[in-house]
Amino acid sequence: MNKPKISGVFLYLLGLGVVLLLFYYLALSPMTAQTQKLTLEHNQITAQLAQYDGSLQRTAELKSKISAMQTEINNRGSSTGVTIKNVAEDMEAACSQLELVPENVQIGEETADKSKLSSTGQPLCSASVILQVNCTDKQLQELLGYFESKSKGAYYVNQVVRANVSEDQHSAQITMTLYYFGSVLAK
Amino acid sequence: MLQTTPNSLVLTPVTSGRKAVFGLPKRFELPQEMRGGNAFADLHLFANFVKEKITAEHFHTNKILFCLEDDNLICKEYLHLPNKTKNLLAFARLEAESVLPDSVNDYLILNYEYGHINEMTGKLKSALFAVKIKLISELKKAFSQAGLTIVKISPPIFGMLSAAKKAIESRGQTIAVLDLGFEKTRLLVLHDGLPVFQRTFEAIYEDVIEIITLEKSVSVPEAAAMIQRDGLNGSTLSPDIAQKITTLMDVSANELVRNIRMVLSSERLELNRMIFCGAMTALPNFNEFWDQLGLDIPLESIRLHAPADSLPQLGGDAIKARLYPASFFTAGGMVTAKKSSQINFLSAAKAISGFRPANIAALALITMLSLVFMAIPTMTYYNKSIQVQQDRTALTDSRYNEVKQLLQQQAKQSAALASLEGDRKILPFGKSKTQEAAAQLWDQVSPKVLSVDTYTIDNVAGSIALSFHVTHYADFLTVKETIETNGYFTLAAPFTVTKSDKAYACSVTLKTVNFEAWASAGKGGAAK
Repeated sequence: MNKPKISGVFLYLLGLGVVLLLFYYLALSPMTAQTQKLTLEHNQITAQLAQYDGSLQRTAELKSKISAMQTEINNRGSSTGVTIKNVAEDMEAACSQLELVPENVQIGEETADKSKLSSTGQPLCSASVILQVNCTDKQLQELLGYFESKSKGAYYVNQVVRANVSEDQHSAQITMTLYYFGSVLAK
Repeated sequence: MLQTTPNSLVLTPVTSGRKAVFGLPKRFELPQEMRGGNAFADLHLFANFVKEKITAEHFHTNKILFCLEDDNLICKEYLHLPNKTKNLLAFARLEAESVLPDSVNDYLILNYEYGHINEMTGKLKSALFAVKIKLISELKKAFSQAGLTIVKISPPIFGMLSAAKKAIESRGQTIAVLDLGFEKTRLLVLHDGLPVFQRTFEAIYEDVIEIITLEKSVSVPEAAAMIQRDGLNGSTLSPDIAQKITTLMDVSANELVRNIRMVLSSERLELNRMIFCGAMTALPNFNEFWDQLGLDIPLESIRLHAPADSLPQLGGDAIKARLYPASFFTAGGMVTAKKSSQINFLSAAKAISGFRPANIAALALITMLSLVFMAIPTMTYYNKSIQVQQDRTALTDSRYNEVKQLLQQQAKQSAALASLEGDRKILPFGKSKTQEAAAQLWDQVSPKVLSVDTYTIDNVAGSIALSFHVTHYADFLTVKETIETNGYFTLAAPFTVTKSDKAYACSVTLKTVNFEAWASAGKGGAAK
């Protein structure tokens, strides 16, 4: 029986086709994906190296920037420096700078709101603070200004009740809430 | 058209068109070193000789139709069962193995199928023509270097086969065709319109010339001119020479007759007539000379059996030289044969040499493209890998250590600041505005009243409950207008203005415009 003759060229092309097909599926596809990853990595490293080179030129500037940032962190870090533990001292500090004498100071219980957490995971705590003093209108304004912007404690003034005692002297009761992160009483 | 004999070169100008037009054949004596069948010993020398003669004779062409005689090719008839044409070449190669002195692969083998079926055996007959591939390629190269282009290389017998099949009407008859050329004598037996047998014999013309030159001490052209003028038994020839020529012709004719009888006997055929053509038949007194030989087969001219329009045309110089179209019967067949049925070694060689390089080139190109297709992504991947490796190494350079540390520190601090900023947003920094409210109250109300008695700032509701004294009711209105004009507060109803002994006691509620209560305002543990 005659065996059908298969052209060598056909066999060669068939073999080449198979090789190309295998190359496509086994090598090209993974290689393309890998190349894309490598390109991305190269771009990232190039950018990083450019950043390093740039930073090398201005090391001093970078150092001063870091120092400034550290200062800011320190400042901000101490902004919640007033807690229920030292709020009494802060009342005294507020009054003494205006040469006032606190008539009545009431500090409430510490309450923790676990739904509000700091970046370090500490809950937001609060305590009610009532300060009663005899002062002039001007002193009252300055006293309020102290609690709202100068103090390191985070106060929210809920109510201010001012009543006349004499022509210049008034009785002022400031009801506030002091906020801070992390229960200090539990420690 | 180029033809060779052992001692001569014959060049015949041919104009090919619908009908071939033949000019006067020019015969040149080969140089001494090429004589005796050594024309192809040095092909470059031979090609240059041809070129020289073409130029000298003003042929105004560089195209050569090369007649390859039996001296340089092998021809064999063989029988085979009916088969497809494409398979016949394979048969021919098998048959060739038995006659070729070297490997079949060294030869170009072409097949010509006669088409005649032997009634007894049912087999067909074909002729194979084999020629060395090297000879064809070297011929082509040598002529090309001499400035000549070979357009076809064919055995003349193929021209005779082609012309006879086309021109001679032999339906129901058996006819022997005899081509008595100056170069060769060719015999073809046709039966029922198809070839049955063919053979090429040595021509006697050159032997006749040699006898005359020797006996009469004349040059070859002079001897040729004598024959052309007087014929083979002319009066200028001595009885001795005439006898020698007659003997030569007799031997040759008897050999022809013997071959014819052998074929007729083996094929069980009966010859109806024998017709002749070829250059020698144009010699004066040829018929009389043939009759003198006393053969029992009558000889008739081809002019009586082939239509005039099937014979080639002659140019003016050929007619002047008293040549007949029948002289170019075989040559005409070579020129006008259909391309598809041609025995042309040149195109066969081209097909072999052209096919393989073309295939190899195409495959090489495809392979190259495939390799490029595979190499480009591989190289890209490889380069990228190296590049990233270098990048990684660069990243670990010690000169960046300090910078890395600083940047890390900066990033840490940025993150810490961002966290603090986030924390600060949760806390009431800057959200409580009672100082501002108290200051506004002081500025807007105090200058226009007798005294501010009490006020309560509710920083959760954004309202201020205020009581003060004014001298006149109009002063209250002034205060009201000031508050309304300023826009920081609004004076909302209900309010009271009550006249007492010396003044008016006023009690109002102010609302801070655009007050936004802080979400967590008012929460926190209660004071004890």
